[in-house]
Amino acid sequence: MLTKIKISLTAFLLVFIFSACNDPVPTELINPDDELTEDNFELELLSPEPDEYVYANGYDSTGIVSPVPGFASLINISHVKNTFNNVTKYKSGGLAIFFDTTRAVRSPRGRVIGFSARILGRVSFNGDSAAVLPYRIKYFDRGIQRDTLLGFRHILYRESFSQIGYTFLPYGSNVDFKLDAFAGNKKLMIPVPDEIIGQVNVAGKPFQNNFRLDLTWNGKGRGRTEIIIGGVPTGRSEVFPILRLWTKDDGKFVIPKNILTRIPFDKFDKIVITFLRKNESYKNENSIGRVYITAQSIHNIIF
Amino acid sequence: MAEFISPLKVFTTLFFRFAKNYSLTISAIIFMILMNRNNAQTAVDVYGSLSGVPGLPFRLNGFESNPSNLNSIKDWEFGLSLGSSFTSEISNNIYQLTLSKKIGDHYFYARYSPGIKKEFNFKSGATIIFQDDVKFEQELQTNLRYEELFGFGYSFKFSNKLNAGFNLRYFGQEFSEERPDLIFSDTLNFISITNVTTNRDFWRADIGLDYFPSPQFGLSLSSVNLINALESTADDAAQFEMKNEKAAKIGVYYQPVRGFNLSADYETTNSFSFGLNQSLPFLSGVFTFGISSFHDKYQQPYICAVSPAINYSSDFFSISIAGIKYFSDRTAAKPLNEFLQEGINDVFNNQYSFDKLFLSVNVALSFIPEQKVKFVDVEIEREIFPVLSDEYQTMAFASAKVLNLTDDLITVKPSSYIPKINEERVFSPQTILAAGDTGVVSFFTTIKEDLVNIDKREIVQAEFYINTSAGEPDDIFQKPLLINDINSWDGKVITLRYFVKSEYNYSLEYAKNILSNFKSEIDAADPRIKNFEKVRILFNQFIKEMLYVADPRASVERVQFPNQTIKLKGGDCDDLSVAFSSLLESIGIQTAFVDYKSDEVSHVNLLINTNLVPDEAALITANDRKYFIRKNLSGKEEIWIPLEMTSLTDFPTAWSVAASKFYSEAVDGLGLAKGTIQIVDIY
Repeated sequence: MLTKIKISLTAFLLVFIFSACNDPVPTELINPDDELTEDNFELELLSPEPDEYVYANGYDSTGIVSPVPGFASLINISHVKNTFNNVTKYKSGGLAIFFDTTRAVRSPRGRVIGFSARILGRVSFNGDSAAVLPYRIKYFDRGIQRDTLLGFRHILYRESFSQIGYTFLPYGSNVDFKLDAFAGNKKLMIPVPDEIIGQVNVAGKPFQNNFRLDLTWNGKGRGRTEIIIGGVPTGRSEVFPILRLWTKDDGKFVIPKNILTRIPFDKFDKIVITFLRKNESYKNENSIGRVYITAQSIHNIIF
Repeated sequence: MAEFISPLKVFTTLFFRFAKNYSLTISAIIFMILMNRNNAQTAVDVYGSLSGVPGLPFRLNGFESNPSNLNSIKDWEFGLSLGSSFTSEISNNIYQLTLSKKIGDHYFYARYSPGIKKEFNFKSGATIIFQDDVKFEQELQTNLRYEELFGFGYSFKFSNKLNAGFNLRYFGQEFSEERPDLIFSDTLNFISITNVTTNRDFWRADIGLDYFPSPQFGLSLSSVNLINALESTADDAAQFEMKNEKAAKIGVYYQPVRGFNLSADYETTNSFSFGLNQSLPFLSGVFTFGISSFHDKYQQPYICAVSPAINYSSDFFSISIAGIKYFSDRTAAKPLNEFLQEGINDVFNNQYSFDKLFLSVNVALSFIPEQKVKFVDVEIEREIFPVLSDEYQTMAFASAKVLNLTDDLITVKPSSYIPKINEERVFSPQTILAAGDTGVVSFFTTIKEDLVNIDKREIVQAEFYINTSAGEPDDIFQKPLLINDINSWDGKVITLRYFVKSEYNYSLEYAKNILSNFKSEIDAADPRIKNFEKVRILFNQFIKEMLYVADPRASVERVQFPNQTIKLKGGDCDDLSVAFSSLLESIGIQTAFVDYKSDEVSHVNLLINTNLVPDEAALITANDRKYFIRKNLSGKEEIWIPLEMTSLTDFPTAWSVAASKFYSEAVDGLGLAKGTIQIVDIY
């Protein structure tokens, strides 16, 4: 009898006690400096709606950044290298776009694809005047590529099969930007980052177990580097961006296998790996509004 | 039910608040500096510094100590340990549930340990940026979970000095990593976050040995991570696995004075522990206080923690409170690179463990008391003669040598059970034995009245028991015992009285029937010789149908009861003497047996009290060698006449023959003086 009482009491106590149990807080393990470290990365999926992709997400084949929402003006200096079959073509230039944020431009489906771009005056980079050219953007409407004229932009642009970035809007220098505007002059100093030179080592073939993409570049050891993975879909000529990664600017990054295996390489004739080193800043200027200033060195490797 | 405040939470909250400001002070002041058998990183126990204290009624140890130390288990035991961890908030859990069983010298142990677990989390280094109407980021996490799920133990007691054992423990390792999963389609691309879980569970086996060359000194040797068997392989997760470094552990135990214990353990991984215990008797149990510290090569500072404990144990339950207080801050976040480099070697105690407090309860589910006495031997001192049933209440039929196995004075309660004559165990008087002493206990018995009439001799297995407490006996002994039949006689004249007394009603009726036919003759006789006349009349009538018949050839003598002699119309000297004595005693005439031990064949006849004083002898005879004078209890001299019952002629002849024999052997031959002839009174 006593044993039965003991067992019953024990069972009751166990039920009561179990109901009040909770696990201790896990021990948190951290990286001491709390920055991006080797093998750490940030990942963003681009072109979430491929049939309605708009370059406004910030990527096009020239590497020139499209209008970023929230800014009235865009000033950009880009040095772009496109390497394909070991042949590199160099493009460099300065860009200024002044948007009228009160006049949005929409796709037939109502999506905002940009704002009306206007001319405010004469633009120069290091004293060289930029040309005024129509500003068209391309977008996809239900899988069909279309373009539209947003207005005008100021471009100072050069292209060559040899390196021009050492002399024209040079790497590592401060470029003197000037706007002789109808409403007043503006001057800005734009720091240009050092050149980025990337390399892609491909091992194996897509969808095989040994497939690897090892990315290397001339890292600076501080700050971070942006890498964009894109491709040229089968039957098309334009480049679609797929993913954007940020990683420590240490000169090496191995794309994680779980990401690599999910990229639909079979849908693309060519893959484009973009290495991007960027300086960016923001200013509020009375006459031209909030300005997004960026200078970048881009190396697109197409394979 | 989860909303009720757990009593343990209340207890731990109060303790934490009180102890928070005085933790080290309390450890130093309240608890005596004692030793324990706690161990280094891989072997800290929920019982803290009380683990393995010899002499405690309950086994207080987990697998964390020597696998061979299970031999304190009594019978079935159940154990429960509740624990609290002190992190940024207090968490409670059941640390272990245990069940133990002793079978002879084999000890089995099982435990379920839901509370022995350790978790880590860290950012895996990947951040996913989601951009819809609003941009937000999600950092991916990796979670590591280590737990010891259950275990089994076995140990064998080779002797009081040597135990050996092994245990098997099952560990779970679960590594859960959030990974981005990219989904691409013609109309929609998106990232989802999936959990990829890898399990790396494993078994661990260890062995151990305990050696106690003396009660004050002991040595132990055991393995750490002797065998680790992984259930699955996954190379990706190898960097997170427990390190499971193999080692050997050596322990020393010393008791300089009773109740005060010192111990130390060293592991070949360069970890060690030391501690002290003090035990004090209290009520019917023992209070034990202990404190220990240890050094672990993976933890800082050098002496990385202190573990106080307190316990109360009785024969039926044990309750302990123990704790572990680390001397470094365990709540702050730790570097990931250090963890990846060093890992952990133990789930319960590692460089990331939190301060803990335990409440443990052990209960005996079915209690087999410790044996305190045991039989050395049992000697049967006399056979059982059912007619002598009264004798066995005052004279032991068996005795036993009994050994006190304890260090204390104990009271032994003997009892016995004899088939055929007992319906239940018969308890005999208690005996007190000194510590470690061997003493003699006597066994008495009684024969139930309705079981007395045994008609056949038989050997039975008598059972002897000795108890030191209520409940199960400490020891049982069986020995063959001869049960004689109802007519068997031990050959001692003094026991013939039991045959005489057994049937007074029959004898009285028989005697009255005879005497009633001679009423006038008796009435006419001189009152002083009425008894003499009755004897004469009864004898003459009695012998009319009697025939002398010797006992059958047998290994034991037989005596007939008076009614048997009368019905059978004959018997030998003891049958006839018993029968006639019974007739006389039933009518109040005192008789005695005369035991002629000197005869080649033992012989017995009667002496009869005439109640005449010596001056009245002439009323019955002029020959003073025909009677014998004896004093009664009040000192008055009375005339007794001998009577030979085998002289089946007439009263005078029988009287003469008996008197002649009596005087020649008992008086002239100094038989009475030498003791070769004995007069045995019925009462």
